[in-house]
Amino acid sequence: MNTKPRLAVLQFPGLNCEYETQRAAAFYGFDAKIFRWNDHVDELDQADAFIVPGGFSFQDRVRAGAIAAKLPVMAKLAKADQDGKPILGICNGCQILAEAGLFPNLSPHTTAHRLQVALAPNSQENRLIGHICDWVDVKFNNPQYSLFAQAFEPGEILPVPISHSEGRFILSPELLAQLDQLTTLTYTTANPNGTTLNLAGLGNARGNVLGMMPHPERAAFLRQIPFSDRGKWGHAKKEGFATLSAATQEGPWGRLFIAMRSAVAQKVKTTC
Amino acid sequence: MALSATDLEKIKALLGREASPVELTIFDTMWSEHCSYKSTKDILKRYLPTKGSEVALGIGEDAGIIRFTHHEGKSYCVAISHESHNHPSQILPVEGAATGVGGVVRDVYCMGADVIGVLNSLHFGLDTTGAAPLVEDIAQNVVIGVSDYANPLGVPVLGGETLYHPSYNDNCLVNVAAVGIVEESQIIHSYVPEQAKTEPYDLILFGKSTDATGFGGASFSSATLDKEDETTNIGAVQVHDPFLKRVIVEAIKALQHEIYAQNVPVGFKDLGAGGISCATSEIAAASGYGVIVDLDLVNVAVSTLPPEVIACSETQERFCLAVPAWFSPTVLKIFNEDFDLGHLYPHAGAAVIGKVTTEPVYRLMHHGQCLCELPIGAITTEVREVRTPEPHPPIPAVSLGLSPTDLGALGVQLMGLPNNRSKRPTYRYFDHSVQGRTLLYPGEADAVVVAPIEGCTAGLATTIDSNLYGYADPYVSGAAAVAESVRNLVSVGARPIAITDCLNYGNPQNSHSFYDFEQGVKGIADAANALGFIPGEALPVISGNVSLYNDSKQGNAVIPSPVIVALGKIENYQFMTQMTVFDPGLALFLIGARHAEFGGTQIANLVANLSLTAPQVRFTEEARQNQLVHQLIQYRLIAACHDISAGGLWVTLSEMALGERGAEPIGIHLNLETEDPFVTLFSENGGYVIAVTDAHVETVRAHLKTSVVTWTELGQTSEIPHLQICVDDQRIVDVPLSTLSHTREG
Repeated sequence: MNTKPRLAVLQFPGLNCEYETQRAAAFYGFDAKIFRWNDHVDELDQADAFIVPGGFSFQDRVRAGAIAAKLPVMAKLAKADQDGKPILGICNGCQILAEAGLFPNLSPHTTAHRLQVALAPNSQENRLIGHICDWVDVKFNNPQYSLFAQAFEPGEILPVPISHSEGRFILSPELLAQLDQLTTLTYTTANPNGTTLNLAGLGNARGNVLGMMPHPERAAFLRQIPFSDRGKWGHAKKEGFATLSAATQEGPWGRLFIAMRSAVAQKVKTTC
Repeated sequence: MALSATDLEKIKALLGREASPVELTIFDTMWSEHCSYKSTKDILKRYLPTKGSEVALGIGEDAGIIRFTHHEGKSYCVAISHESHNHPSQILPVEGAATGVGGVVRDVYCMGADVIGVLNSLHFGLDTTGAAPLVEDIAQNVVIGVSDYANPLGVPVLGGETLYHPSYNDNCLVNVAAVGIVEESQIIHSYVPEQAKTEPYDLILFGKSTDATGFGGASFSSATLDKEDETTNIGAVQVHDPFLKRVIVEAIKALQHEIYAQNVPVGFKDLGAGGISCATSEIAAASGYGVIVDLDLVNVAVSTLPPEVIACSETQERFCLAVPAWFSPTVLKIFNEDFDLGHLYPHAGAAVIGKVTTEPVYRLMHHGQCLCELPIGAITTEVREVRTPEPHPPIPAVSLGLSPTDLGALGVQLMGLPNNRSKRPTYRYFDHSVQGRTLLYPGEADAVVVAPIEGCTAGLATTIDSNLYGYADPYVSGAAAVAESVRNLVSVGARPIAITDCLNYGNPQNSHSFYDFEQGVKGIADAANALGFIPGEALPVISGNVSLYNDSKQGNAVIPSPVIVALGKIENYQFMTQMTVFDPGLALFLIGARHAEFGGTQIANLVANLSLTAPQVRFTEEARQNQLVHQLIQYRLIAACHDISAGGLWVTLSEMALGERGAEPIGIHLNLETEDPFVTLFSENGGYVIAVTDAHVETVRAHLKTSVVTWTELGQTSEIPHLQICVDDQRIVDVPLSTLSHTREG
């Protein structure tokens, strides 16, 4: 039977990227459903993969992601993590997963997750700089440790937009020492928000969770790339528009969703 | 209260008795300039073209709606509302600007549309003497306010502008517009449907719990700002909660789903000026019904609120619905249970607060007492104020003095003026890509383009424009704002389909200010009549707002500041054009004649003794240029296109070379044949620069030759990253792009 893998896009109060995320995931082959935070949580057992999208859950009160991370539905996400299902956190989703301890989670076999990374307000030279929305370039490092990095070329430069107020990764010293055992996503253009080691995203030890501050769903299609991008994707957009072939062409981040899908398929195969 | 003694007399005559305190508050709001348009209505009606074959819903409800495209058998429309929030932003910049966005998006949501973007036009003071130290603070906080609302709500900023002038020192202008998409068959109206004749209809209030914020907001916006009233005025500014709004918007989507699935006739209106009293009376009065509202049923934040505050406060994030009584439980469940508003904000949620009556009387009950009993006719009575326009004494036109010799140095200086600097530091605060539909981003071209409908290649282009010509010529100011907004759409390959206006002027009781207003409307009307793209039709004005009293007792009125939003359509968005020259060897053409008219221009800040005639808008020429450029883009002959406006050809070329990121490596080499390079480079008459690849140069030249527009070949893009200008083979300018970039980035 050829059924599409099921993806749950979690909707916490105040998130606002659930539809763009659903659209991108659906285009790349997922049966993507938006799941409201207070729906019947048991329905989540059916999902093969999860995305916590971007936004401002609970108004970023306390710290971005801190309140959503404590909701009952997060127990389901912890369970899915134990089962090795792919879990992607984008922007506020990244903050929520960090607050819930789902990444980097260096000791995956204990259920007691511990906060090892925090996303702090954007700052430069100890001065808060507020919200930043801009296109940046990023690349994956140590791609072998994450299912999400599997579809990209090694060292490939990927344009992507960021839009956040609290995107500065702060790591515990213990985590800093073990960073070479994790997949990381780093800015290759100027550090936009004072983040440690240019970090834009971070995986978990098991390789099935990725938290990233940039928005891959807004660079999933070629048409979304700015003309002013000077790399190959900017050229591809100019070319695609000139030949009227860009409307449904894949963008740099389509492969993130494809990698998630492959991981689900792989998992189904190995458990059968 | 802003009601005058004459108003009080009129009210007494209308009712045949003294009005109660709550009734007075209602009249105070409804008869305020802000709500009643009592000084301006006649002029707006006399001049502005509002009809067109594509207009689905013209002026009159909360937003205007224009047909956009057909896709898979459905007719999709764009809904737009355009508002000002000037006074609140001057008093409390963050809250004022944020609630400006919050209010304008509600106007679009309540038409059944989903908001896909907002635009902002921000006019800030310019403190050259140190006398207005708050100016920079206000500018910074207004930007934060806009981003504090739009970003959490998850709507992208699809265009904006920031202008600086000392006349805004005591009165910043914050104009915002919201754009939404709605299927034509699913438009919801702002009035009680006719079914209420035969079956019982409830009034439901949903959203944030009612508190005392924003009490008296509408009447405060209809008076001159006085520093001494600051404490009262602060209470009149509303408080924003985009987080709660985001959840409410999701609940509204669920509600709409039920409404369409069960085909329920409803009326839907947002709560803005005047709060519950205005919304509930207007929603019923618009179709001749009465209403009985029980204030005891309103969800309030604190139980001690006086009834007139419950009735008239402008608490944000609230909407009013008229639904058949049998449908009310469904509505309540969506807001109170499914989306659980009460657990996200104290006492937030939905409640039935009243009933629609066939007897045309508006009644407000509180603790069993009737606080207000007004014939609907009294509330909807049209009020008029007769104002007399009086022209200003003419500004003496000065003939052009000696041209400055070092035009390069002058041009660099020009780029450093606040109005010409890069706006990147501002728009970097605004999310431009949320919802994932943006195709052409702020700073990349004259307009932003989105693909609003999933799977459809129709592109929607948006732009918001105004200028500083108002002091020199209030008529030109209106005409030029429309002309520029149309050029901005044409530059990206779009056909203009509709405009909205927000008219910011001083106290209408001042006959000069009122003259400015009337002239501005005439200018907008003439331009809209001349620049439409459908033969025989004007470009329709489908929504608008008037903001008067933009002056303070401590300072002067703002210069006349009409602001235009224009919507455009690109049949296939892949035809769109941007403004950066990415390659060397592109031929550059100038389209549009230059004139020595420098009133209100940027260069007039730097050079004395210039002609102070404002740059005239020559409608026939503009229309021809627009048609030609639009056609060349449809033929795919243009590699880059940028319009000429503030700063003239110099700024246009600099921006084409520097690009969005401010550091593109391609230079420009001009070879001008002109008597007066100063006029060529710095005049701000409407026009375009187009860049054309080798392959298309001959074709473009042929098109230009057979056209009736004024055009010149300017030169080429080059590998040398400089702006170089020769006149008759004599080099008069050689400026490295890095110098321009450095000055422009400030």
